[in-house]
Amino acid sequence: MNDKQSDNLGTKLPANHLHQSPKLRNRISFWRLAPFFVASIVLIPIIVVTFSIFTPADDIWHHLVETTLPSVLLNTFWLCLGVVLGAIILGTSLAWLTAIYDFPGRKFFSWALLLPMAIPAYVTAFVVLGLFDYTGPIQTHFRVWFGSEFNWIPDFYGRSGAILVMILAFYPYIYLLARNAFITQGKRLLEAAQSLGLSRKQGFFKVALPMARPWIVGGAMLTLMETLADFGTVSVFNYDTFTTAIYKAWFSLFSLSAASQLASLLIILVFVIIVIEQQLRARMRFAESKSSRTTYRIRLKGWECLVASMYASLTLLIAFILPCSQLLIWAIDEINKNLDSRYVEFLIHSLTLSTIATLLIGSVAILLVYATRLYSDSVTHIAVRIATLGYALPGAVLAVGIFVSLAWIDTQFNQLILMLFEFESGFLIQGTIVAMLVAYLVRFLAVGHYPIDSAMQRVTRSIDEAARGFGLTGWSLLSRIHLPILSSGIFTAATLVFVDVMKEMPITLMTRPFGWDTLAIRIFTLTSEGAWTQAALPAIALVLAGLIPIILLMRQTEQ
Amino acid sequence: MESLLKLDQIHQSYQHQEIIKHLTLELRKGEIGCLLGPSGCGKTTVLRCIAGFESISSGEITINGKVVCNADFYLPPEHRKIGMVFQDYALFPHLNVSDNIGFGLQRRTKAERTRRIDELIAIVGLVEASDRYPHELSGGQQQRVALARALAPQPDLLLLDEPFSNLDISLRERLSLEVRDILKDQHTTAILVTHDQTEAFSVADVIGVMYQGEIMQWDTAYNLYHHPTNRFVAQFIGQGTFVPGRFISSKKVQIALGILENPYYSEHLKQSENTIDEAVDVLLRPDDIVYSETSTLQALVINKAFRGANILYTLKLSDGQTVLSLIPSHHNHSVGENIGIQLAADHVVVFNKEKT
Repeated sequence: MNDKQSDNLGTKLPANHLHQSPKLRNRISFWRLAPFFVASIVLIPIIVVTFSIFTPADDIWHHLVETTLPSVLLNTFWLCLGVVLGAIILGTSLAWLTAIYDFPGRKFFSWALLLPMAIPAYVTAFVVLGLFDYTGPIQTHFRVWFGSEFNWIPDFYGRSGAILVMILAFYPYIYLLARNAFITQGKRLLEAAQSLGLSRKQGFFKVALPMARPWIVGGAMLTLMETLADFGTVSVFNYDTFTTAIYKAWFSLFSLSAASQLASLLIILVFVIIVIEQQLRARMRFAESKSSRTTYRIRLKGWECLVASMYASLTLLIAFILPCSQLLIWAIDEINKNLDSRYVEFLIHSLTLSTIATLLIGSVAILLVYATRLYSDSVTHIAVRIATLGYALPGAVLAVGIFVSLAWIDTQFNQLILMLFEFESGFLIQGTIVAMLVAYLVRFLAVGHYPIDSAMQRVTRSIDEAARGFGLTGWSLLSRIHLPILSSGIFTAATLVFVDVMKEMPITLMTRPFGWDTLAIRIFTLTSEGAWTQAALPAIALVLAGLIPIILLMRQTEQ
Repeated sequence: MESLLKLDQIHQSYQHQEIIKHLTLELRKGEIGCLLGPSGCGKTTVLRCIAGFESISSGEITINGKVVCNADFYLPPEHRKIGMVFQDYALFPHLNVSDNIGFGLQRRTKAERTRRIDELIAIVGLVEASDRYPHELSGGQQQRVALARALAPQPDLLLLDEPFSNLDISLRERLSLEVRDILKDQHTTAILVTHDQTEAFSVADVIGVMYQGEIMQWDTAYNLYHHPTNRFVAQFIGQGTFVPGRFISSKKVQIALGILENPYYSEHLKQSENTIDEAVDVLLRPDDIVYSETSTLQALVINKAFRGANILYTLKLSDGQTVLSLIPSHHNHSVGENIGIQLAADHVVVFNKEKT
């Protein structure tokens, strides 16, 4: 009987069996079109924003060009330069230290140095401001020690503060990638350099660093994108960049078109970066070495140990322990005073939004993964690439693009209703959470897609064929073979998306329905009033949530 | 000739495990040595100690008259004037062929550097590939670049760690002969590490068979095969079987297949000590037994392996012993058949009986 079955499979189901069954074909057309539909959801806001550069300039735009735009451009330039350079130096040096050398605490530091990723940059930002505030602990202590005349205030408002905070928040990207590069390139090549007469230090600069360059620059590109996308940190420091300018144009000057034009400039900048990043990724493949990863490390001795441990612990202290402790102190102080039912409401808003967004993004990601599995042609692949492009778009840009697109659809729909039924339907999409969810989908689809897609790589065609050999098809194939294999990927994707949506600030701020405050929005409101201590309470919840994906990531790297 | 490399009683242990046990060897200038042994015998560790990537717990290593390490002194690899060809080649993926080869020539003038690079590219036959990057090269080409890169700074000693193991067999044979020619042509002193005996035989002048951190025999390929001094070497090099025998005079050994004259004595069996009637084991190589149609000595074919010109037969003698025999392949017999054989041993090696 078994023989007969496999015979049937052999004749009826060759490699392209999906195209042969007429019953399947109708269902397939949905999978065929799905990636293109998702890609168009991503493309429409991008196109709308990009082409808004051609809209005729109004008074507000002229006003912006004459007053704020030059300083915005300059501010953005300095911020990017400072953050990227700082993060490269900090991230690469720490990566080298923990990848090649052995010193007391190396194992601990190699994962602990990722912890700063758990704190949203805007949280570190207001903690730093609060620490150095006139009434903050540092100034107060200085006055106690040096007398009340003492008035040293480090200029943490503005540029240097924003740069410092973002370096501390974003260096883990470069650290993670560079460390991976240093470990995989193995010690073999350094030994080869030594056998050719180079000292270890020369070997680092002549071999290890040039070879890790694609990874380091890749990490720098990620950092650059995050810096350009940042809204929370720069608004805490009151340092105007593109994102805050877009927000102000829209919500203070009430000019959506001016906001859109600013966004178009930012989008062009981002696209240049994407192109560079893609090319680097292609080069990374070639630079990969086949050398087996060597497990044994160079032992540091005496004072070298001390310097290494000090450097790593100082970074960890400033970037993670200090902000967290300060948050805790403030939060404990606040918990009795200000923990009221409103706080519960923010939390419920945050959790509800994150849950819905996670379900939506997770389903769309699975949809894309299966679509590419059924149709692995180049057009589908391009559609998926476009669909996952949104991670590079700053939230402020997306908010504008999606709001404008949805407003247009609303208006058209309204007119249609008016024409057909002669009655005003009012706005259907604007002012609901639909706009927010679409924006989240565009922004975080890549975050959800990548883990599920990697998990799907493990379900090879021969696994499917083997399962069919045992008579498993349709739902039973899905539930007994695919879901168990994909489950860890889906779990990772869900966690990452959930936390990212929770921390998200500009999209939520600009597209939320009236009065829909989340934890992140609460932080924005409180920090813009300078109420650092009160902001600690919602911030703690975000940091705790942020720790979850870091733990996941560390688990993965250990395996 | 003067000795270029000297390992004197070197010892290394790691976590209470002895990796190298009081190993001693000497290599003369221009000679190519080889450490041959099964995986895990410590041969690569010896090479890495010579290079300076690992340290030793006792003993002394001397390269070109200069002590490079002992129990309390250690010269870093970059000052040892060695060249190394790694198993995975370890080519720098971000540099092209010329730059890889020129990597160790930092201190030369630019003109000198270019001249030396061109010279080596010509020697290894990669003139048209000089601009390519490692990932654009075939395995054989990568191997040549690795060799050229190691030879470029004219090291006192070249170390080769399983240099051919990543190549397919046909290329392996051709390239190993080519490498030997290049090394001899450049008067390079070299030491090679491998687990493949054909590779060792085709490249090296002198070979040390290693087992569990010790050199079992340090000798020429001919002697390792024909005059093994101990059972390990006898079994590791070539094929063969031990059959029981008995001295019938001081120069004659009786085995089931006949009488053997003038046997060669292994290390533990000194000629003077043997007595008539003493039981010994005799090593029989497959070429020691030949086919003979007319022979009264019959053996049962229990296994056969076709080797092209020859067939390697596993034969069972009437008393139950198994022996190997290499017979021209036109004598094609099937398993289960009885064939006539004859002893044709010029020199055999006798070992004292294994005490088990």
